[in-house]
Parts: sequence; C-alpha cells; structure tokens
Amino acid sequence: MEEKERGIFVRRLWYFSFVIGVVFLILGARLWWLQIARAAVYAAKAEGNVTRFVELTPTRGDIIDANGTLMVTSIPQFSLTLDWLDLQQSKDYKEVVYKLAGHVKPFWPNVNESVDLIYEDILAFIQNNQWERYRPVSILSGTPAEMLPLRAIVAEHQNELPGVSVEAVPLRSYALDGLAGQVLGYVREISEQEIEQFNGKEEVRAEGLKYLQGDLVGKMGVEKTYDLYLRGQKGVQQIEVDNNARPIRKTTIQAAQPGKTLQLTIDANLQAVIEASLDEQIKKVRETYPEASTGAAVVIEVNTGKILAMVSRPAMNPNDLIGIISEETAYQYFQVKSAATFNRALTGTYPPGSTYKMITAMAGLQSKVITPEETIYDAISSLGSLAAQQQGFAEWGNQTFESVNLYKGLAMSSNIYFQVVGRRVFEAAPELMKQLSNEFGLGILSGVDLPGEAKGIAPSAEWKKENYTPMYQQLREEQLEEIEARYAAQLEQAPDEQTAQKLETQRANEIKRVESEYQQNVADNIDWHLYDSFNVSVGQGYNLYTPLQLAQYVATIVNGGRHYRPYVADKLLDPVSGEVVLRNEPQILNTVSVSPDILAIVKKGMSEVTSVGGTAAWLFGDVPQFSGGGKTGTAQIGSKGTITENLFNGMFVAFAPYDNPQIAFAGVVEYGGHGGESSGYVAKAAFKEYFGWK
Amino acid sequence: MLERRTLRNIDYILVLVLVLLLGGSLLILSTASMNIDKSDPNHYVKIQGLWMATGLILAVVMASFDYQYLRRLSWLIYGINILLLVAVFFFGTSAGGAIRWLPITQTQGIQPSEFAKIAVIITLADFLSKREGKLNRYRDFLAPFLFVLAPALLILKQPDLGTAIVLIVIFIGMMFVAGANPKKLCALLLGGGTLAGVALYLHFADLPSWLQFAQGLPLPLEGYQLNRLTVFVDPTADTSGDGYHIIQSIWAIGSGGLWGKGYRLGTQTQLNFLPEHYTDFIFAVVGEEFGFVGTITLLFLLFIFLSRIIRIAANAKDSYGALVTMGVASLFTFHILVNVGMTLGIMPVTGIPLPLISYGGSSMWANMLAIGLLFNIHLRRQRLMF
Repeated sequence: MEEKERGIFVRRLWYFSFVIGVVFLILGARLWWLQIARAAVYAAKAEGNVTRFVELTPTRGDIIDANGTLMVTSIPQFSLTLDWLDLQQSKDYKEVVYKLAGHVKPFWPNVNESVDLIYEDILAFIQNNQWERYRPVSILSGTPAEMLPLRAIVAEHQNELPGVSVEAVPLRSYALDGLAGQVLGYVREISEQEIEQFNGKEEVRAEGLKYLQGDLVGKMGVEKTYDLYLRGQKGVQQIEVDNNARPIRKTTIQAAQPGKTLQLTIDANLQAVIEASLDEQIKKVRETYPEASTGAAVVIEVNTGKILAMVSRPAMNPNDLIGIISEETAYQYFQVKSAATFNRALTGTYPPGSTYKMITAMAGLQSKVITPEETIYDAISSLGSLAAQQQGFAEWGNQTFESVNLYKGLAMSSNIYFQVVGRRVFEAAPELMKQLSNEFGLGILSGVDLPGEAKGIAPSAEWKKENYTPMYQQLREEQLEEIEARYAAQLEQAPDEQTAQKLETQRANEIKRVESEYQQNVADNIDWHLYDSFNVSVGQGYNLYTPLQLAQYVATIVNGGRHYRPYVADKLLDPVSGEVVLRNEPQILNTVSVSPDILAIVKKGMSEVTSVGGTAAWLFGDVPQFSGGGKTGTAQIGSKGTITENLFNGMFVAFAPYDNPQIAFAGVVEYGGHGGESSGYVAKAAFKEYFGWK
Repeated sequence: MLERRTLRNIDYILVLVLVLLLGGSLLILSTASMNIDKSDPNHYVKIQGLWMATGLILAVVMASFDYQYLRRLSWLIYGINILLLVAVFFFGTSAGGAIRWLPITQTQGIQPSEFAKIAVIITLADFLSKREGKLNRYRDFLAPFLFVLAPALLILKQPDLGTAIVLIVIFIGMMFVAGANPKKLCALLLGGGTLAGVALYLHFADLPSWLQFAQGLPLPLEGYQLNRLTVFVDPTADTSGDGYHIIQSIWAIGSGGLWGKGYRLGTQTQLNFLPEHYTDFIFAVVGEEFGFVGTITLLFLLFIFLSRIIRIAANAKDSYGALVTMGVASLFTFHILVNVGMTLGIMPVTGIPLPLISYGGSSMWANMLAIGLLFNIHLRRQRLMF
C-alpha cells in the first residue's frame, strides 16, 4: 500500500476502534449497574428463587391428671408420603408409582378402585402438588392400626419404591375414652374470629407468638385456656430448591419446641367414679322420664379451690370431634338442647332449691332476726295473714314437722321455717341475701380457668328493679312516642278546632292508659313482693346457680369462710425435664362477712341432714366412716302453672369429713326429684372413692 | 512454509490473551456444565478441550501457508460454502425447531453456518479488494451485497436469524474498511433499519383505520423470533419462556455482586434457574460466580484481543489481508455485543454464542480457523528489514 492510502486506511481503523470502545463501554456500564448499583436487589431475587420455608409442627403438650395419669396425648397418625427428590432417582418414576398403586390397593379408601385407577389418581396427585415438590406429599393417612401393615410392606419393598415412606404425624388422642371431656375440651382448626381473639391476648403477645390461619387451636376446656402453653412453638426449616422445586438441601433454622405438659387438679379415678355414678342415676331417672339426659357434678378441695372432678352429662368424647364430623355427631354435640359440648357443671344454671337454705340461715343469724334455738311452728299459718299464706310454699306433701329450730329446719328441709326466716331477713336487710350469696361465690363469676362459665343470678329487690325496669320503661317510651307521632299527624290534618279538641282529649286518654299500664307493671314485675322473699328463701324464684358455684359455696361454709378461686390446672411441666414451668396457687377471692360462729352453726345444721332424722340420713347409712354434712334440694324447674311445674331437678350438696373438712360436692340430676335420692348417690360414690371407703 | 525468521514476528501478547481466554473457557465450563451430565461433571470440559486441541491444529495449519494462496481458491470456497448450506436442507438434523446441523458421527455434527462466516470473510475480502476505490456509488454496493445475500438467505431459511444478521454486519464492517462511501453506507444502513422498524411496528401496533390493510403484515420471521423481540421490549410479557430466560440471566449476573458467589456456588446456575448456561448464557455464569471482577476481567481480555486484531489489520501487507482481519474483527465484536448484551438484557435473545468461551465445536473450529488466518496475516506483514 501507498503511504497516503495507508493513512486513510488507518483512520478508518480508528473509527472502527471507536465503535468497539463504545460497545465495551455500554457493556461495562450495564455490568456496573447490575452488579454494583443494584446487586442487593438481584441478590434478594436470586435468593428468593431457591429458598422455601417449611413450618415444622410442634407436638402438642400432654395433659395428665393430679396423679400423673395420662389423659390427653398426641399419638402418631401414619401418612403415606412421596418424596419427589427421591422418586426422581429412579429410572422411571411412573413405574415406581405403578408398583406403589399395587401395594396400596388393599389400603385404598375406595375398595373397588382398580390398580390402574389408583395409579392415575396418585399421578394426578403428584401433578397437583408439583410446586410443592420440595416437601413430601401425603397420599393416604390413617391410624396406626390401619397404616402399620402398609408401613411394613413399604419397608420390605423399599428398593423398588424410592421416595415412598410411611411417616408419623401427631394426632390428638384423648386417652381415657373421653373421661372429663368437657373439662379437657377439643382441638380444631382456628376460625377467623379466634385468630383475632387469641392474638389479642396479652400472654400471647408477651410470648411473641402469633396464631395463623390453618393452626389448630383449643376450642373449649383447658385445651382452650392453656392453648398458648400446650401448642408449643413452631419450627422453621429452610429448603433450597432447584428450578423444578425439587429439594436440594434442608436446614433446620429453628427446631420445633414441644408444648408443655399440663397437670390438672382433676383426679381421673374420682372423675371416672362420678361419671359412672351419674350415668347410673340418669339411667334410673329415664325409666320415669325418658327425655332426661342431663346432669352435672363437681368436687372441689375446700382448702384450695382445686377442682378434683367436674362432670357434665350427656358425655362428650373429644375423640369424636377430630377430623370430619358427621351430621349426627354435630347434632348430638352442638345442636340438640342437651348438647354434649355444653359443660353443665360450669355453664348450666339451675334453681338451687333447698340447697340454698344455708344462705337464708346465715342471713337470719347475721341479721339477728333469729337464733339457732328459736322454734317456728311448721304450719302454713306461720307465714302470716291469709294473703301472705297464699304467696308462700306449703310443706312437702302438706306434712308438718311441728316445732322447728334452725338445725331441725335444715335437717328436715322445712320450707315454712325458711320462708319465715327469709321474710324477716328481707324486711330487716333487703340486700343481705344477695350480698351473702355473692360472698360465697353464688351469682358471680368465679374466675375459674375454664372458658364459658355462667354467672347465675343471686336476686334481691335492687337486682329485680335494675333487671326489669329498663324493659318496662322502654316499652312505655315506645308506646308514648307512637302516640305522639300518630296524633301529631292527625292534628295537622284536623279540619276545625272542634276535631282538634277531640283528638287532644283522645291523646290524653291514651297517654293515661299507657302510664297506668306502666304503673301496673312496676307494681307486678319490678317491685319486690312477699312471694319473692318466700321464693328466694327456699332457693326458688329467680335463683339460678351453676353446680360449680354451689360446690364453692359449701366449701366456703365449711373452710371457715375463705372463698377460693376454683381452678382445674395445677401446673405446667417441661415435657423433657419435667420441671415445673408455671403453677397455679390457691387464691382467696374474699373472706365472708359471716362470723365463724354462724358458719359453725350452719355446718352443724348440714351434718344434721345426713344424721338420724335428716332428709339424707339413710344415704350414708351403709358408710359408717362418713362424717360431714350435706343438703338436699328438690328444685322445681318451672313456676306454677307451667308444664314443668311438676318436674324437679334433684340437687345435692355435701362435704366431708366433719372435722377439718377436705372436699365439697355439688350435683344435679335433671328430673331427679328428691336430691338425696339422685345426686346424693353420686356424692356418696365420690366420697367413698376419695376417702377409700369400702 | 514457515521460516524461523517469520516466526519471530509472532504477536506474543495475542498468544497470551488467547491462552487466557481458552483457559478461562475451560474453567468457566467446568462450573457451568457440571450439572448437565451428573454422571460425569467434567464431560463437557473434556469435549471442549478436544475441540480446542483440534482447533489449534486447524489454526496452525491456517497460519502455515501464505494466505495469498487463498485468493486463488476464493470462488471454490464460496461454492463449497453454498453447497454445504444447501446440503443442510437435505441431510441436516434439527435442534430446537431449526435445521442447522450436518451429522458427522451419531452424536456429533457440524454447523455449516458457523463456517459460512469465515468463508464469507475470506471470499468477500478478495471480492472487495479487487474493487477498492470503486465503491462510491450506490450501484457499486449491489454486487458485494448480493455476494453476501446468497449465503445469508440460506442461513435465514434454516432458520437462523442471528447468524444471517452476523453476515450482514460482516458485510457492513468490511465495506467500511474497504473504503465504501461512509455517508452512503450510513444512509443504506439507516434506510434498512427504518424499513425493518416500520415492518415490525405495522406488525405489532394497533393501527388507525386507514392503515388497517397493513395490520399483521407477514414478516420473514418465525413466531419465536417475534416473541423474542417482544420480550426484549418487555421481559415480563412472557415470564416462562424467553422473558424468563432474560430475567433469570439478569438476576444471576446482578446477584453476583462485586466478587461473585464463588466457583461452583452460583445458585442460579447450579440449580438450573439460568437457561442454556453452558452455551449461550455462559456469560451470566461468570457474572454470578465471579462477580463484577470476573465479568470486567473477561471483557478486558476480549477488548485486548480485539485491539490486537486491529493492530494486525493496521500492519497488514495488503488490503486483502487487512480486509480479512477486519472481517474477523467485525465478527467477534458483533458476537460479543449481542451475546453479552443478551445476558445483560440489553439485546434480544438470539442463538449467538460468546466466541472462544461458549461450549460448541463448530463455533470453536470456525473461530480457530479465523485466528489461524490472523496469525498468518500478521506473520507475513510488511517486508522485513534486515
């Protein structure tokens, strides 16, 4: 080439080099942008590509009774699973699935399905779960009895079934065949509402826990109250996956923490005896009243408030509430009037009948309207004027106990005696009966560690006024407003003065009528009447209490007036070390205002009930070891003139022994009639078991 | 043949860069291909090594005779090239919908389109060197254009749009070096580009009613090629196919950061999120596992490589040698731009490999033939002074 020519040529090469330089600058700049400026963003994206998190389910804590007997545990349920990663190791995974279908046929839910169809089903299942391949997919699950043979088969053919395994997943099991079902409660998937409710709890926030959709949660009983401790803490496993979501590596970031073991104050043996006895009594009642099916009983330790047994009938077996619930089960447990999930010992309120008479006695003694020795003649005439007599109760079967003092009154359960005393009390101190009831735990919330307790009603004049006034006032106001509105419209259209005048008069009359109606209502339904006093004095009328409250009330009488908070959970234990993590201590809610002397008198009166001449004297006749006391109640369910007028719940409360009492009992048998003859037997069975009497 | 005197002229810097690039290729392949054949993680490294060794022999052969000799064979080479490209249609085997391979053994074959690039460079250089100084009019452009168009259309038919465009780029580069009127060349380039742009626009856009007749105008492109253009504009338009490839490639490179995740530790690569990671997307592996340091080092080596090629052109004995050299420079520059740009999401997805780095026998051989030729031209540069 010529020199000049070469010069031009070299200039073209420079242009060319310039283009190359620009190309490399663009690439370099882009690299800087991706790898330096935005590196963190893309690092996160790439990380998200490969990382999946899987929750590790903790084992829910066991529940044991006061003696350490296992009541609730989590047993393994077996699940046939397929692990995609392992399955892929085989030459032809479809062949593996086909072989599996053959082995699994005898265990398949649909007995008539052919191996080919099972094979198709499993393949479809794998397909549906293809984006969760990083974790094993469950194909079939069942109880150990159902699945253990399959597990053996799979183990035997492991070589030709890579990735197939039968694994255990924990399932709640109520060991003693549903003993104390309502106390234990049950566990199911959390509802939208409950998520909010549980996450709002302070303890939950303090523990840094969070309830999420899909979680299992205690729905009633201690499973609910102590869910926070029983559930344990979820673990997290990080799984690295490839572009087909197959697992590559698994790392446990946080191991699952098993739930705490909950030890109850319940004595399973005592509970079992009471359940059996109550069932027997209900069965007996059914011979006369076939629809009778409900009952309840509670035993508490008088010096601590520990609930040793709590029974509600019909029985609830929490095992029935696991998994899919049949319509029949749902009806029996939730919908029918005698629903089994209703804990009658805690949530059922009953008229206490004569078991309330100790309150009347104590109120009489404290307000000094009576002495223990004063006698009242047991006849309807003792109630006062004829008008007063008509408002009161006659003695049972119109019998007479002649001269009755306080002890005899309790022993014979004299209605006349307590109506007379009650009338005096209400005249001297209208609120005293209610006040004392509350001091002994009646008509107030006990604060027991079980969800859903009922408050009951301890009535008084004040209470009646507060409770019913708003209703009648509202009725009156609505009626008045309606009248005003109606006449305002009519007056507007009145053609002349005369018509208007007439309307005004009509309006005034209507208002007058409403006002007088209201006055009548106040007189009838808001004001306190003598019959109210009489009713309340013998445990009828507005009185409504739970069996738990009645047991507390007896305990407070016999322990010297200390009203303990009842509780059912003794302590929480570490499942591994057995160390006590949390313990419920006995807690005195209040000390009663009744003097120890009066308490002693009433206690003595209660022992008369179970002694010669008492209404339950015969009950403990064959148990010479028994000392203590009780009180029968035959509570009228409905008021006079209703269908339930002649139906009576059998109520019984008791304590033992007389010196230094240990336990108190309260029980109710629906339609049981005389308390001593129904609930009384349950009490007897309970005492025999507790004290080890033959 | 080669004389001792001639050998002294060897460009040792080019040799060093070449050794580094080829060694680098094996290193990168050893991580990029380890999860392809699990029974032998180094399977593809070995084969690539074999391609390199045989390629080096080819290069030495190409360097050993005086390149002037090739000018005499020019039409023969052109004819064989066309024959091979036609043969593909009759005896070719397909891969991914396109027929590009001529089978040699049962598992291996050659890709005539890779060699076509070199053949076009050698023959077009001869064609242009005879027309030097006579490339000022538009009509002068026609003959060289038709000269390249014949093989380009055959390749487009396979279909292999990427390689066809490479031929056009080689044509433009060599025309420029050969002294074609730069303004007219630019005008043609702009005209062609505008035409393609309008055609694509008419194909995709929602047209006003008076232009409805042009809606969905047929283009000489396959559906997947159009799709690639679509996802190039908006990768999220197709997050499972090509759009997915671009996104995963960007994530791989970006997540590498400054230093990279380490040799064989790139999750995008090793867990298969990155597609074609031992062939077309191998640059993303470098980005992920060796980071910015790795990618810049590789680009730097490639830049030195190209600058040495231009130096060879500047010192070439004659315009034929210079044209061949600049054809090769055009080829490599365009390959690097398109391949690296694709992995960075600034170029559409095409099946164009990264020269000397991507796995692939035909491409390695073709590149080695070209490099042998470069050494040849360099060894026989201006008359030596004694």
